[in-house]
Amino acid sequence: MTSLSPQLTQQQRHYLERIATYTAVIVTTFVVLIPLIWGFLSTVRPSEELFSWPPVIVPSEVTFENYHILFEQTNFALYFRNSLIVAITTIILTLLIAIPAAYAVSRYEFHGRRYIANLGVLIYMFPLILLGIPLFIIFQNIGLTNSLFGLALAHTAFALPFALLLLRVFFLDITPEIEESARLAGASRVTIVTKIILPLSLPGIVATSIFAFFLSWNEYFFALIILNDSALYTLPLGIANLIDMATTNWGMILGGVMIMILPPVLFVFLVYKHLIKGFGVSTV
Amino acid sequence: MSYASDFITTAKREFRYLARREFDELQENTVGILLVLPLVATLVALYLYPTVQAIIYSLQDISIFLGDSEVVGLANYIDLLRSGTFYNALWNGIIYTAGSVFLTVVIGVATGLLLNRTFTGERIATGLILVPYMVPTVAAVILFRWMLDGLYGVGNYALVVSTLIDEPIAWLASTRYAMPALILISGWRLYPFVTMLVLAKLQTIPKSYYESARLMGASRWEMFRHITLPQLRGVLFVAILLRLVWTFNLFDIIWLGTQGGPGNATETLPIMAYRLTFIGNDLGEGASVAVVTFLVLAVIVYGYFRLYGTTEEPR
Repeated sequence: MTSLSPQLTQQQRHYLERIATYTAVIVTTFVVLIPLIWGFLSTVRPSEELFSWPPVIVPSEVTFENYHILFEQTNFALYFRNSLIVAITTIILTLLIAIPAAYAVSRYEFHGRRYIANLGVLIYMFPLILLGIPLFIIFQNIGLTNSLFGLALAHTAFALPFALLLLRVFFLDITPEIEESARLAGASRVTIVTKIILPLSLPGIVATSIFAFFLSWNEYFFALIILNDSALYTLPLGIANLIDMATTNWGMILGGVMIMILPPVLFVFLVYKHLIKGFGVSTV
Repeated sequence: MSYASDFITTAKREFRYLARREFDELQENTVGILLVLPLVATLVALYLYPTVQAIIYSLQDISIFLGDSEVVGLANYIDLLRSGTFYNALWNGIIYTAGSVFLTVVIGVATGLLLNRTFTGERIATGLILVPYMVPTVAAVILFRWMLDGLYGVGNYALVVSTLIDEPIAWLASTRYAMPALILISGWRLYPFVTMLVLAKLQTIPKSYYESARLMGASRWEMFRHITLPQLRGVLFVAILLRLVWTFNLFDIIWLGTQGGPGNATETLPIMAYRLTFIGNDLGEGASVAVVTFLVLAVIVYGYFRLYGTTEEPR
């Protein structure tokens, strides 16, 4: 590098650097996505091709047979529906509990406020298993095992600490002067929240909802502990169970995997900005 | 009829008006506490209470079906500390955590630095490189199980063609290779977390730092060494801490990948606690493993703070 650089003009160096950057970006992106690309290719090729050595890289023909089998011969649609119910319930519960709390922490002075604000960090240290074992017994006693609502409640508990952090960041962005002038104009506390705070912090509420959705859509451990009835299985449990039942039909199982991946991946591109912001701030 | 409903509407309106006024006249302290109450109640019911219960169970000889239980004091813990499976699980957990955290940090920092450069298509490339974090764990593990399949896995094919291995390996079914395979899966699934943190931090470093360094004739490497790295120190401290905690507690990737097998080759403490409780039906012993998991983690975190958290406040 040092021996070369004197002979290169500024211009040449600039081009070399560009080329290096683009090559690195393209290669990295491709390598990172190989599992997904290969998984997708495996779902759209004829089944014989899956079980050949050496593997066929480019499918000889494109078929959606695996997706047909998935919807017609398994309970995949039901698992999808269950996952959706749990995720939406989780979002609603999380917002209902976290919005008032985050607002209070960012606006009102009260006893214990500092502890609430720092709670999140401590709670994420808890081993899931330490909560899971007793929660199973507790949920069993109050009839929340084999219940989608019970599962959503557990997911809400996990979403809350981060939801609190995230919402607080967005609430703190709103200048108190706006509220002050509304108060002087005679607006009540409730009006201030519904007419000013909530509309202004909508991006934060959307980001929090999507975070809660991710968490619930992905969650396997509690579903495993709480749900026994296969009619209530969510996607993670249902798909994992397809492996145990039909180890041979990889094409079909990967089809389910592809569908399951779609909603969260689409979301990344929608909220990408807020994610970076949320992550950046949550560590400060 | 209409009189009655009129009356009810008026009464409702009146009541809501009064309730609002009442709410407005409450002291700030009271309002604050009222608003955080649901959150605190949920956390107490779903974190604090279960934790206390787990500790109580761990001091009893009790099965998952409850029934007859007997307080046995620390007997479960003593049995645990005398059993080889415990040390095996502890050691596996340390290896797994060290390997995964190392891999996620290396890939995360590299991708973060790369994405911080200016190029066309930045947004799309960033989105795509962050994708693995959005892939649900179950999906990630299945994708890798298929690629690492002992008979038809394309990963094996690539390794055989590049002559790195002589014949295909059934990675997750092998005592020797199951752990590296699990670390690979975790690395792939979790590095974007570090990427996001690093990227967020890099974007806050003022450009003027680099400009003045350049004016003083600093090389690329010197700028990286003396500006970028020190700026990243705080964020890496946090990233490693969080990944350390989460990976040590991690259940799903291992359970879905190997169920702790073959034999006990990849069994970590959370897996052991699950197996004892829900397969062995031994609630007392399982709970004691869960409590010990937490204690071990507390020691690791304490040590980590002592080693790296001393000089400056992490930012």
